[in-house]
Amino acid sequence: MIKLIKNEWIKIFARKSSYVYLILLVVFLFIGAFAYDKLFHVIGGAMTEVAADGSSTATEEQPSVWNFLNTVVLGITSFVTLFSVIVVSQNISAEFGDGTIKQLLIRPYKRWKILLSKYFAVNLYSLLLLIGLVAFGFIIGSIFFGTGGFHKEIVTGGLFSDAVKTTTEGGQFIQTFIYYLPGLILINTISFMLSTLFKNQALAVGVGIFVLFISSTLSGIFTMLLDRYEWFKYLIFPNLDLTIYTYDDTVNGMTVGFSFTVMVVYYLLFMIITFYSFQKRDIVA
Amino acid sequence: MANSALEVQALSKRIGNKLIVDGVSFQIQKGEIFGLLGPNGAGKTTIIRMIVSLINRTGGKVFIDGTDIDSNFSEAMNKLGAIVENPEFYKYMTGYQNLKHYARMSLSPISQERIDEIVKLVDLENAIHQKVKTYSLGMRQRLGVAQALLHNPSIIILDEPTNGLDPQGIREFRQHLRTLADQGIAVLISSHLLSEIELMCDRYVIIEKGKLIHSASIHEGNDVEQEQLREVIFTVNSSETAIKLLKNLSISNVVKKSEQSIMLMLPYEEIAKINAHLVKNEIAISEITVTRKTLEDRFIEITNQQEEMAVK
Ligand SMILES: Nc1ncnc2c1ncn2[C@@H]1O[C@H](COP(=O)(O)OP(=O)(O)OP(=O)(O)O)[C@@H](O)[C@H]1O
Ligand SMILES: [Mg+2]
Repeated sequence: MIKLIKNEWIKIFARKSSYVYLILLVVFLFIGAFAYDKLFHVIGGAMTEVAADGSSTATEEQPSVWNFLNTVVLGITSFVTLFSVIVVSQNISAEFGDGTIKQLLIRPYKRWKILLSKYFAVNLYSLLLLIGLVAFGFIIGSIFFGTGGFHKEIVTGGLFSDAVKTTTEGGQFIQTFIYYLPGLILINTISFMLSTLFKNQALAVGVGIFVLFISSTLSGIFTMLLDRYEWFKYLIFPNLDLTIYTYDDTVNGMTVGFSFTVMVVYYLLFMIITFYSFQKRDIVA
Repeated sequence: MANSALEVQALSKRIGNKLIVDGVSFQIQKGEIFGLLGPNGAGKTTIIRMIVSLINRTGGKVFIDGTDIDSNFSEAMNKLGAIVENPEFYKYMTGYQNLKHYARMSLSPISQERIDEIVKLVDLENAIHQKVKTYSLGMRQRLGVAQALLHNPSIIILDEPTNGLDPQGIREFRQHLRTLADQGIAVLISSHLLSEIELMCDRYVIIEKGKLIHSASIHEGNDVEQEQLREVIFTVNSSETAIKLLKNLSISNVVKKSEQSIMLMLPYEEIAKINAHLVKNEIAISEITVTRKTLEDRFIEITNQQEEMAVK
């Protein structure tokens, strides 16, 4: 099994695009850091002017690396999801498209093992992108804004309810990071399933991005639908993004525990569909 | 008794309500080159896909070197190498990386030397470190043979392996196969070209509309041909006289080709008798030509017979 995963890992990195995505993330980080730095200079400048009036003392709203991670870096995670969806879909559908799946499946390994090794490899790649993003984010952030600021208290919440809570920059980041992971894995799993079922990369990437888009931009519509239909909260879309729970404990009457449970149920369903259909299918590519 | 390298029993495949393969059975011994011959769409690729488990069998059993593929899949597959339809590779990797990739998937470890040896065997040493996307079809065929052979299988299965090879390449390929067979590897090749099967194989079956309709070995083929009529051309001093003499023997299907030559259809053992009769009656015979019935004629004959039977 390790040998199979190694094979898949090598194949992922035999494609130039796999490096390009990692490099793009670093480029985005630099752009983000520059922009963020500029933003604070502008705001900072305005504040010093106020201070010169003597009416108020300058507040030390200095950005820190943790502050940078919380805002810019977490924003760029959408690209991690996007690139993951592309790589996951490509990984399976290219084997069908190029006909290499035939040569791959006539080996002394059960089909499900070969598929599982692919599943592990693409998720590992996805994690690599994420860890790469955070690691480079930390380095670049530290260079631009200096280390420290982990324990700085911040107030969050009030987005979906009136409740507010106090946490630290560092705590907020770590929590968001952890809450981001299940969504990433589930979206990868959906892309994996679609490309296994339809063998078509364009379709798999398209639907993957659609899922991504719909869950991150249509939350307003979800709120409306959730108000009206009770069953709507058992669908996958309103539950895909756990990071909203880092702001509020309950969102539209749902909690992180509830959403996570729904995700697990869908996850298991998708995995069963994927592996069952692959095991049974006639390979005619 | 030693196991057959491959044995298939009553293979069948139904798609929708159409039987694409219908009860096909055969055995291939070690060291034997076996041909699966049939026109386009006969079901050759479907049979091969069932043997290598790419598609489900509607019915039938497959044994590779005595191992039932259903009860011991991994062990059985480790003794098999194949190219199914076109040889497809990861184009963005080199030939060598592709081979390494498949080598890692073998149950028994494959050494560096083994890979080098195989590369040399298929004569790809100069191109093996180039990306596969730069390969010609012939080179991919050879890389296909290489990946099928890597793990020392008992049998290799090659679907239309000479596709894309030039005449020189086909000749070399034939010699390669013979060398492999001499080492005890069984080879199954499919083809719709009779001449190819005739040149390469020890034994073959003809598949037509999913059914195995004929089975023969190339060298035993002569027995079958014994009873069959074949064209015999006699070169004589006078066609007219010869034809008259043959009429007396009540042989009437004689064609006068020229003043000096006649043609007639005869079973093999009759030729000598006719010769004796003509000579006794003072016809000078300077040449007797028997056209050898080729596999091609037989192939067409057999498939046509099937056709006629189907019509009836
Ligand atoms: N998935 C499928 N659905 C329906 N019919 C199929 C399917 N796969 C194959 N067939 C039919 O089965 C028959 C046999 O196809 P197969 O590819 O096995 O032929 P073949 O002998 O390999 O032909 P060729 O010499 O052209 O390679 C064909 O008539 C084909 O149309
Ligand atoms: Mg075919």
